[in-house]
Amino acid sequence: MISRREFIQDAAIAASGIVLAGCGADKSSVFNGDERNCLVALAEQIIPADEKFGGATDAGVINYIETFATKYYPEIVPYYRAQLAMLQKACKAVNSKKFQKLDFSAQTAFMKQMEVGKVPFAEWNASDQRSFFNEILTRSMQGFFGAPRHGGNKNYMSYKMLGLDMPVVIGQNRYERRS
Amino acid sequence: MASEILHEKTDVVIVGAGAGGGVVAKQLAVRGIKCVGLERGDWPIYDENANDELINQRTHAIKSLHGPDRRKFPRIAYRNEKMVKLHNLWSSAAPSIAACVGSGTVTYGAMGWRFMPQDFKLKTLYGDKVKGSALEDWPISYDDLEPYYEQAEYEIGVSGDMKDNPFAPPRKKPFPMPAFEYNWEDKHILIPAMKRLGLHPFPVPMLRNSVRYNGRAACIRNHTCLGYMCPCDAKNGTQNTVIPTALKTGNFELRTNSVAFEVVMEGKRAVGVKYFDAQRRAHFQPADAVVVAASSIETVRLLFLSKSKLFPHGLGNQNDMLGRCAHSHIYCGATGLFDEDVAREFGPGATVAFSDFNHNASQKIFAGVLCSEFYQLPWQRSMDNQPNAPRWGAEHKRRLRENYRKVLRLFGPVQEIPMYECRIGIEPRVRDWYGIPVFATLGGRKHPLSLEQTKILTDAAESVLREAGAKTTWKINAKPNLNGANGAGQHQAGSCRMGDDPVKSVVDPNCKIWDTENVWIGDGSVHVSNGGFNPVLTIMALAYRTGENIAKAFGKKA
Repeated sequence: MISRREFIQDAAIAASGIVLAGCGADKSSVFNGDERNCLVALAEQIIPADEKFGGATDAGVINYIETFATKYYPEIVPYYRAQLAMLQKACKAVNSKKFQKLDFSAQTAFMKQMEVGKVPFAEWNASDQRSFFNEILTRSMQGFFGAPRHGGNKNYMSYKMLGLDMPVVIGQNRYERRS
Repeated sequence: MASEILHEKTDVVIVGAGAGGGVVAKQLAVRGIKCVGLERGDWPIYDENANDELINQRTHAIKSLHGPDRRKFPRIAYRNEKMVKLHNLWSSAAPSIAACVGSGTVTYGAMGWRFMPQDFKLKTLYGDKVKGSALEDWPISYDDLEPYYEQAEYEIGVSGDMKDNPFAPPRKKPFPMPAFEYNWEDKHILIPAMKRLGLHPFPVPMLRNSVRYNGRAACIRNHTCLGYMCPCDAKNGTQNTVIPTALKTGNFELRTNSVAFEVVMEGKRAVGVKYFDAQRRAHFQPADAVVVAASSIETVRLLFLSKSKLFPHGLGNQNDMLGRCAHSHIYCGATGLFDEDVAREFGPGATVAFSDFNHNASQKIFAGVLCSEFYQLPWQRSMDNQPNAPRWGAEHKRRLRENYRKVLRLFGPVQEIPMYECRIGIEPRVRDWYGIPVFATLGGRKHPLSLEQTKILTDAAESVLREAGAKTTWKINAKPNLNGANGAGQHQAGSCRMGDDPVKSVVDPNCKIWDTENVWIGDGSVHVSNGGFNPVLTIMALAYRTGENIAKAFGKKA
């Protein structure tokens, strides 16, 4: 668990909108380097970059997940830790590598199994696999499509992809501009 | 108790400042009756979370815009005799009704429907079909409520026009504001298809300003409307209409962050309400009458907690009816995927409806209205996929990008049939931040007719979309789980049923709790059935009527 002091610091950083995408071993993260890299890889599978549009990594989805797990729900961190550890254990058993070290298509195959609770690793039960998959899915989509003020959707990247005005033109939108 | 902060006596205490409580406050205050309102939430502030798809009252993704605060009000996910399981703090499941001044009327989609005359006598009209249910006729008729519908339409503000709806309930006066013009896709794609199928499309009546009204601006057709506060205050709730009117009289004091926990009874009379403030200090507000308008769930919770010598099992529970027959709507419809871009960028959507399946003579069902759906923002859309399509990855991203404007949806509320076993109660094993036991839904099941009704409505939605040119269509919620309890969402209703017979109801036809002299209910919990429409205008109309009845009890003129 993080201390109250660390939590407040992290929350302050998240709230001020400083983004540190892609820095694996960043001290400000509630996740260690390995956990963070794994989350980045998982999110990129959910929304991969393509030739035209950026993906989860470009949009800073990891920053959103960290904001969610510090500013709003620090209680979720032990759950992430436990499930990430289990995922890596399963991945090592199945693929002899850490998840983030697998090539893209092997990661995809692993997640397809995880989505339906069929990663062949007895210790990780099917419903835990599915719920952690859904957690990653939901949080990644939120980070990619949600308001940039929470750390993701950098420069309204997903809105641009959909051809939407961004930010939606209303009033002064002064809070949104900050991010 | 000596530790409670004692306030000076007032005429009436009103618990809840939402659709019902706000209207009752205005009705009393303008007639010179002193009242105090207790609202568990705060005044809503637009700037705190403007247009945020992750913090609003629709998706609840990070948290609900207007609460209630998940840390203070735990939500039960599952319970049985041995254990209770709570929802995770971070789960967006089971949000409760908005906790702020105006409550859901601040952020609703603002459809301002009147129920139809038939909706008040479902048992008479459909007796055979609803065997095995607790369905009853209302003790009042549409005609009794008609003047109050009109008052709600004029004082709160509804834009509409029913000339194209042959099934519209009768009205004495036109709407105070013209109807909204149709969105492009509704006008050019859906309406022609509806007409070709012999349906009768008409504009959805909206509690939104189509023109400048009551000193506030006209709607700017924003995307972020349903679930969001209005940036130009063109959406009409109680927080920007009747509540300010009540406050201006000087007869109404509204205390926010005030959580009621007991209606104090002396025999048949309420003598006041106990509540906690934001610092968890207990207060006692003495009064000559009490109005409970805390929503269909929270009202029941408060009444269960208000035990006294004459009401040992909870106030209004003399005949074991308190909390029973809780119900809502089954939302269903269909999505259509077109070959070309059809949706334009105008918010907030939901401009057209057809009412052909409300009390449809040939199908012999009461069903509900179908409307074009509200604008879906990107995150919501990213999670709303075609059945069997990938939910993630490159293909998901491609489909989302290419289809964002190729999708139209029709959506509507089917009336749930009240069931005796569907009950709201309290769960003493779980307490909120104030130490008050939380509410629990005590189970029950849906009536089989629900399935027939959703089938007819989803079929209708699909056929319109196909006629309109959709190449692929799929149904939304066509097969509700009959073993699951009736709903308790934003349209929660029925848990303190109104009736002629005290054995089968909680309140009398004037919405006063049976066997009490001065306790009234002013929210949707008194609905006997919930109409095939969004219920808010009916809640408001009833509150106008109840407010007037209370004023009469105080010797004031209607």
